[in-house]
Amino acid sequence: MKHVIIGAGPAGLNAAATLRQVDSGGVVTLLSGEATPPYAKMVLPYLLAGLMEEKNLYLPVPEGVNFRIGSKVTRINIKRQTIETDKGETVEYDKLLIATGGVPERPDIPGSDYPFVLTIRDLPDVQRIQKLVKRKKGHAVIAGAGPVSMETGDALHRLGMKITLVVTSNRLFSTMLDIEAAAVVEDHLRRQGVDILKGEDIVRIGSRGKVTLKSGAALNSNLVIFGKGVNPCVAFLADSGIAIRRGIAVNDRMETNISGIFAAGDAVETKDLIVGDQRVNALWPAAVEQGRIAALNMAGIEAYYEGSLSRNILRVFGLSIFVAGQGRADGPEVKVSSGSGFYHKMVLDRGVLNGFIFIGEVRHEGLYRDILQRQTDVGSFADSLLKGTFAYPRFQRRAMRI
Amino acid sequence: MSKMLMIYPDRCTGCQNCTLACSVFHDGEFRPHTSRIQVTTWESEGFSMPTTCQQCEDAPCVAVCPTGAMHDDLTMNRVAWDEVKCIGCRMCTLACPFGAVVFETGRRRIIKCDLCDGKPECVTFCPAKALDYVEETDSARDRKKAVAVEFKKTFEEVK
Amino acid sequence: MYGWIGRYLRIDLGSGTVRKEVITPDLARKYLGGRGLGTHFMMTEVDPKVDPLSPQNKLIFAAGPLCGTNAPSASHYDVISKGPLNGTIAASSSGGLFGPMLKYAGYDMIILEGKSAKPVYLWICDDVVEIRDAAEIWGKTVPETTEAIRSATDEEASVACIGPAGERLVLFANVMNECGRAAGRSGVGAVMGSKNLKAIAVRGTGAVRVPDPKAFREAVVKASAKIKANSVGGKGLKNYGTDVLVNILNELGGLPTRNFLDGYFPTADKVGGESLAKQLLIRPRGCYACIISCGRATKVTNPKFAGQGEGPEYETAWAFGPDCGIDDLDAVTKANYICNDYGMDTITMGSSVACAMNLFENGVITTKDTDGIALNFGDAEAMVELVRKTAEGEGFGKKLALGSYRMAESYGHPEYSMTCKKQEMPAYDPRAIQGIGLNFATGNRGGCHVRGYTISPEVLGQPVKLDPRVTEGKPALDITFQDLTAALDSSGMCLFTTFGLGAEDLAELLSAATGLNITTEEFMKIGARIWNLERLFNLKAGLSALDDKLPERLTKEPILTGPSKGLVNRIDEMLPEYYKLRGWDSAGIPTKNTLADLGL
Ligand SMILES: Cc1cc2nc3c(=O)[nH]c(=O)nc-3n(C[C@H](O)[C@H](O)[C@H](O)COP(=O)(O)OP(=O)(O)OC[C@H]3O[C@@H](n4cnc5c(N)ncnc54)[C@H](O)[C@@H]3O)c2cc1C
Ligand code: SF4
Ligand code: SF4
Ligand code: SF4
Repeated sequence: MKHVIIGAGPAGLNAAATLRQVDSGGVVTLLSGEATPPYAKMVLPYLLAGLMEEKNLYLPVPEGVNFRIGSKVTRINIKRQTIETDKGETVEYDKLLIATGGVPERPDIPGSDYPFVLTIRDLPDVQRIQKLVKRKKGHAVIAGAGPVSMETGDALHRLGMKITLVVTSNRLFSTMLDIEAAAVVEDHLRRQGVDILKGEDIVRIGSRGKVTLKSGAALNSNLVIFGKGVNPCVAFLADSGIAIRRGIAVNDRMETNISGIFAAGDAVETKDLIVGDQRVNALWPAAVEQGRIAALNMAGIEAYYEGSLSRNILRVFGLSIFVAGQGRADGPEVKVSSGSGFYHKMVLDRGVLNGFIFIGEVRHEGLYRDILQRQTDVGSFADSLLKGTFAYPRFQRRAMRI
Repeated sequence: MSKMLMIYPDRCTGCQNCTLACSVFHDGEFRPHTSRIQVTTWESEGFSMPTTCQQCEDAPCVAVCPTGAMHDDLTMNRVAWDEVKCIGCRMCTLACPFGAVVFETGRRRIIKCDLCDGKPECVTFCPAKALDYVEETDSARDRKKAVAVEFKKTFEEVK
Repeated sequence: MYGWIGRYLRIDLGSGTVRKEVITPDLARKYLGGRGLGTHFMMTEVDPKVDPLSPQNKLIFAAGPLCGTNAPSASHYDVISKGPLNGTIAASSSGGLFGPMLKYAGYDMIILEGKSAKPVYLWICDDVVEIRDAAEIWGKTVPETTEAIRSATDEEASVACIGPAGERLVLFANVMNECGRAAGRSGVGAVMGSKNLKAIAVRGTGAVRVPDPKAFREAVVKASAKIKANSVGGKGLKNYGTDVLVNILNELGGLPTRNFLDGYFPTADKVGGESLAKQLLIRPRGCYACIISCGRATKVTNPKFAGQGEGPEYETAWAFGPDCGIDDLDAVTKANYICNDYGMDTITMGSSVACAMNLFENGVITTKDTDGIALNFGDAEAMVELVRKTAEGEGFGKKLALGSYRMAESYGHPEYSMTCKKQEMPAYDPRAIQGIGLNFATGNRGGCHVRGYTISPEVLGQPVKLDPRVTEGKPALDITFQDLTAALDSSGMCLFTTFGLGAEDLAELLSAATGLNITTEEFMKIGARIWNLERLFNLKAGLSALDDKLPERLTKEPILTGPSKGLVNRIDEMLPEYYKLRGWDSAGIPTKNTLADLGL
């Protein structure tokens, strides 16, 4: 059996490892469009901040996998069951996995192609920033305040840069936090010296770093970073016949509309476990699991993907933020406990958790995630949960009482 | 042959000697808060349940770790954590449903059972033989499963 | 500091102020912690003549330096105050999690002063200390309170609280922690109630440190091995609990029966540890850091007395059992559960019921006094009913709530009360065991076995067997045990570790934990210092040598049946020598030299 995997991110790597485990007779070819061995994109902000050593960056390719570095796939020929790369190679497959991840959105405004204007997705992005920062620290303007921009901002802040966040909405993390929670974060960030401009947007960038905003205000910058979201990396599939909606459409075995072709990771849309609709939950753990499930099915072992849970855990500017599910919602039932430097919120529906926001320390995050994912009835101990330190044994204790 | 940690909750007296031994062994001080094993007590039922890392075979924490810091250590039949590689992203803590992998913010480190490199202190100090470190045989593994079932039953009995 | 945290909380419940103060290394070494340190603060800050239930009395919760380490069974903290049951210095010890948790939160001790205007509870989480409103939990039982406070604070908090008995100032109300652990005697729970303090909940995430963890580990392993090798500490207590003593004492003829009318109870076995293990035991339980596991998780299915919880301990089984002429283990255990839930000392409760039965059988009181209940020895249902009435503050229960002395006195017959210094003597008949009689009589908090447990040598042969019937050598023995226990209580250890450990082992553990070189001599001297300090408090409170006595029944009325038939206690042969060896004058007052020698 010839297995071909496009993309060596977590989805692709986990699929490759799984295939080697369950189909030792098969041939696994893994193609990466990048010029380096595989690495985790997640670690890039840590690398930038100096919290990780470069020598630990690269991940091993699972043994026995035929790994092709710098091979960007340009076309899939469904009839012939082949793929073609930008190097002119053609590779045959019996089963194919598309795990090409996402590409960051870069607005089309004057000046967005200057070398000091970047998005963060790949190693070269970070390497470029490192070079720039080495020359001069100065001021970084970051447009968009999602997790990746914030982590990057935190890293730059650690390196000694002045940070200004420019967000179009009325708060930071608008996709994760409600107004109150965002206020706690904003408060914290301001105290760290971060400038936050809300309801603003960058409309123009000058060659020497002048950033002009929607309101007409202008800032001087040494570095501009766009973190305005990521789109599935599917352009090369345009005429392939593979169905694409928000992302590549797959069934619960991670198979596309074309039999034998699977997809996983940031490139696909899946069922959101809490909301129930199809969406792209571009998250590391989701990519890992999807890659594994796709691989099992490629090897002929039935496995099903229940759906993805939107969740995020990060620590920025010394503040922990942990959100999942419909944490932003304001009903049906909401429990909040907040104080200086912390904000805990849970959204419940008839005793079942729909989502939460925890700003400040939490412990046993996995348990919270699990309770949400399993839709466990927590009605009788919701107040205890709200404290953010609920532990598994305690959960058991409560659950067993019911 | 490698060994595994067995837990017999019905023998447990709730004394927490395991948590004390674990914390002092790893951190040089008695801070049960950072013990890798935790014991919950149901006072009115007179029942206690020790929980620690199960050293899962297909561990979710290993699968999600983006750096390989959390990895399978086959020589000791455990899930091991490599401080040098860890970036503190908490993908592992988010993955473990038992809360057996804990992130300690202050020291930016992961706290999880490392089987004390093969000489479990908690077993040494458990006065009730509620913890044991045994050869991993099929029958031992079955027993572990049976204990889980037994636990449920015991609980229902005392309830 | 190692071992100690070096810090304590001073909380004025009247004004709501919270202060964090420092314990100096000198003071710590002088009194260790727990009982010793608490008594020091009582002595220096409180007028011993104070009304125990007035705001001027203080209430101190103090852990020892070994608390929070894994020294075997080192979980004990003491509640120190002037006790309302008899006006002596009270120091009630309890195990469980509370003491260690207090230290993990960063405090060796809490001194509570004044009185809150309304019911409150304390919430201590590391550096955060809050006085919170307790209106909603006032009136709740111990398990209800524990649950409610954990829900409101932290699931893993340790909760020390009073039950409704403490709120109603029952004079022998106790402080309960972890639902089943009790700082039982002297009525410290009533002091807490008088301050409108329902509970203290603690959660700590900090650490207790020792100077050299490896060396400490060795000391712990060594000490644990000694306890494990001991027949009582290693096996007996785990298999049968303290209740194993029922048969042992009965076989000796030293099991006080029917309010000490006799010293032998033919059917005692029915309430003994072996029966308990067979009929009610679910499993042994241990306090924090405990390797002995004398605790009993039990369950009674008999619908008449159904329940589930902890206990009974030996003294409890005795008080509700043989002392009331009862051999129904289910009833005894039920009475224990009620006491646990409502927060009452089982020894004083049971003895008070026994005293009432004695008064009733002799016609001093009648059904008119007892709400129509006939109180005959052996009536299990009546016994449980009286316990319930006391717990609920109902009718005759209000009389019992005063303890046996005040109750009997109110009917003009205090001599029916089997008390020393108005506190009920527990389960060991001084007529059959001379040394324990001297200990009861000289006990600084009145009748009490855990102030000098001479039962070890006199009955159990630990560490060596001594003849219980002789008085010779007993004063010296009592003093050794009293001093050892005072130092042991103050270091945070459980008394039962003395089944295996001696003063030298304890001193070694203390040294390893604190980094100080505490010799066996220094350890024993600390004990003597604490004992004398307690004595001084009591003398200033108005007690005198006249109070160092046993009830007449024990010196005049011989045991009627059984192996010790015909014996009485001969305290007069022992007391003068005891004073002399203590370095006290004939009026029982410590001499100047004695005090100077002890640094008092
Ligand atoms: C800076 C940063 C921080 C992040 N932090 C978090 C976090 O804290 N938590 C979290 O859950 N998620 C985080 N994410 C998201 C997470 O990294 C992604 O969800 C995950 O990497 C998706 O995995 P994937 O395998 O689908 O795709 P990717 O990891 O994007 O890998 C896809 C690979 O395919 C390659 N490729 C693309 N097209 C082709 C082609 N045509 N031919 C060959 N190769 C191709 C790409 O070059 C890339 O190497 C972060 C992402 C970034 C960029
Ligand atoms: S916190 Fe460390 S061990 Fe855990 S997933 Fe992240 S890098 Fe791996
Ligand atoms: S084996 Fe070691 S690390 Fe694991 S719980 Fe026991 S003492 Fe702790
Ligand atoms: S040491 Fe043993 S008996 Fe004690 S709590 Fe731990 S597992 Fe239970």
